[in-house]
Amino acid sequence: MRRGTVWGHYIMIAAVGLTLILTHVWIRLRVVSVGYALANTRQLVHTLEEEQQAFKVEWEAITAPGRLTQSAGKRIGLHMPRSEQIIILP
Amino acid sequence: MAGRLRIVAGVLGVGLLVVLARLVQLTIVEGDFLAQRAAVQHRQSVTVQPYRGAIVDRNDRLLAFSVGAQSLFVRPQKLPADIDVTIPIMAEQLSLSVQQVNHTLHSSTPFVWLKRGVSPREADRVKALGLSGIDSEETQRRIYPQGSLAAPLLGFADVDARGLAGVEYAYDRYLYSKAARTLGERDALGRTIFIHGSPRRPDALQARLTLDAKLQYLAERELERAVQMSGARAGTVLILDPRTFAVLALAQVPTFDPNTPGDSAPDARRNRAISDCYEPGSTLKALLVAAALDSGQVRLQDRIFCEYGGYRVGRHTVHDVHPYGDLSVGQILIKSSNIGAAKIGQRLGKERYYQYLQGFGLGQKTGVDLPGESAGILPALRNWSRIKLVTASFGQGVAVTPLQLASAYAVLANDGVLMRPYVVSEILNAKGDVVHANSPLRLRQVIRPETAQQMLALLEHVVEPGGTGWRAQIEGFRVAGKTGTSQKVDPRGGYSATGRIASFIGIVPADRPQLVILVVIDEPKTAVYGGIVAGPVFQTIAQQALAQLGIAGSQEQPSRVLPYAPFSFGDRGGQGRIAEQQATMLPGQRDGRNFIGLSLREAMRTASQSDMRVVAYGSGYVTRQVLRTDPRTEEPVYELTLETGW
Repeated sequence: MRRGTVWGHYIMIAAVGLTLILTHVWIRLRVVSVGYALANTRQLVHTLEEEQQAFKVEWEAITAPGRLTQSAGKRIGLHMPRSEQIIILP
Repeated sequence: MAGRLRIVAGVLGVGLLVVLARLVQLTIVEGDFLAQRAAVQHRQSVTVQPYRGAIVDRNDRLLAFSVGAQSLFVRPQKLPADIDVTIPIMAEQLSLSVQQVNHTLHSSTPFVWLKRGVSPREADRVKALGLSGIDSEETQRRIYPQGSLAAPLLGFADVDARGLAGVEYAYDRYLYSKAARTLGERDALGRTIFIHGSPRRPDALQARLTLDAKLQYLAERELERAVQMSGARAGTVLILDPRTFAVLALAQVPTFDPNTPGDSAPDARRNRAISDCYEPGSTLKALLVAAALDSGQVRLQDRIFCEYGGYRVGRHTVHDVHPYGDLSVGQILIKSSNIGAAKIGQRLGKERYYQYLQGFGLGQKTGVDLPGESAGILPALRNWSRIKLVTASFGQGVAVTPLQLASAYAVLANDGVLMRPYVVSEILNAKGDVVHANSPLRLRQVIRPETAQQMLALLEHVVEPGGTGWRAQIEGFRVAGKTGTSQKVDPRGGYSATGRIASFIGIVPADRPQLVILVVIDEPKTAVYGGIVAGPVFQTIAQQALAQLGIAGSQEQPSRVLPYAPFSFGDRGGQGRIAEQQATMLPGQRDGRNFIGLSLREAMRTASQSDMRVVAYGSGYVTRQVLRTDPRTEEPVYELTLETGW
């Protein structure tokens, strides 16, 4: 085998090694970058969950039987039906 | 060419070797040491705050819920010198007094809470002031979106998410989930990446109650109205499902807002339905009569002389509100005669009566899944003197909690079977799977089913015109119930001259019991009798509760049909004094005296045309008619039995 070919092989191996190392570094950077994106998304999810909880509480407070009864009576004049007004279907 | 190639390859090779050598040094030789140093620098332990699961009613309406909040803290030594300028702003933003904030900021301790459980918005506003030494920590805040609804039953939780009272306390082991920790990596900018999974909120369990928020609101509204109108000191309403002993509503006045429990008096936070005892008065007579009938010591038709209003027992005299002569056992209950009850008690005997009262659950905790339950007071049998038996027969000298009494009446409505009342039906995990369930628990058969049926029929007469509880009638429904008026015990000894407890307990519909409703009004001022003060409250609550639950009534109801008081239940079956005539006519024959085959409406029309009076039982069409004589007016009256499917 010629000497030039041997050195060519060495260079190729070195290049492959370097490529692997660079790929590894690149992947690592991507992982970190995706990690940040995930962290941001998690934070967003957390914020949205908190908001949803707040809405849930608000919804429950607005639809509380006491408040509904009061609003129904005051705003649209509803009242509990008398017994003869109740028809229960079989 | 080859020489240059060799040089390049050599340089690269040497470089690679150096890199490899350094790699070996960093990862193998110094690997552990460097890893430790790195971890100290960028690893961060993140705490996920403890969390409490929600509490919902039987229809999954939210009653208690935890939301994210912030706890603001101060390190006074790190505060800027001109902090006093911002004190009024901070006080306004946090709804605190200037003095409070001033005191906190000038504390001598190195760490002090400024305000815990504030909303993230409030915390952001304070942090926007940009003051060093003030920071916040993520925490949870317990919210009760329905306000004071069912507050004494729900209880409340503290700022550390631990339950302190009510269901919150009783089920703390399920509702509370501990703080969790997870590891993250922090970069130079302080941003965090989680390497061992995301910081998930601990999976808390949720409690589903037997309570119905709509019934609860209804009970609270009507009770509050009644307490206000009667000028009473307090009041309690309890609704129980007699088929399972599930608590459907538990209302009390005074009550409190669990969102701010610290603003209320301890008196308002106490769950009166399970912790307060009172003498049940005449409501206990139903248990006495049930015991006497069940043991065979009396029969319904037995007549007892009621001494015309005064009965001497040793040195004591027992009185009735109205004087009576001979009354049947049924009439004693309908008229609520103390003397009659005393004599039934004497026939029953103290041992049997005591055993039955124990059987009904008096003198012992019901076992409801709530903390702070009282066992009531049932004096030991050895302490029962002659007068003790007499007074206990009409509900004095014995004390019950509202829940005990409601459970005892639920026995009458449940074919004589006592069960354990409960308020939490299920504990669910985040996926909605049941991890713990409280199913109805049968404790014992207290009285025979036939006796229970007899008692229901008897108690229906209490609610009919002429009975003490007629104000509790509900149109279209059969109601069984009993009034009670008891004197309050004077702390200085004996009974209070003015303090009374008015109560009414009812079972509806009496023909297929689905609700037991107890109304207790403590020290009413306008009137003191249970039938007057508590009966109408029962009526309103029961009527609307039946509508809410979609429970259909009987087509017609005898008490509404009758323009007069029914005659004694004890007179049924004939005692020689009653003229009885079995109808022999066939359907279709019409002579003004035959009601067979008619609907109630037709029967009423026929009766009014022929000037006859009728009393009707059941629904559907008349299948049987009996001519009786009203013992009070000596007038003839047709008793009609209606059945469906004619």
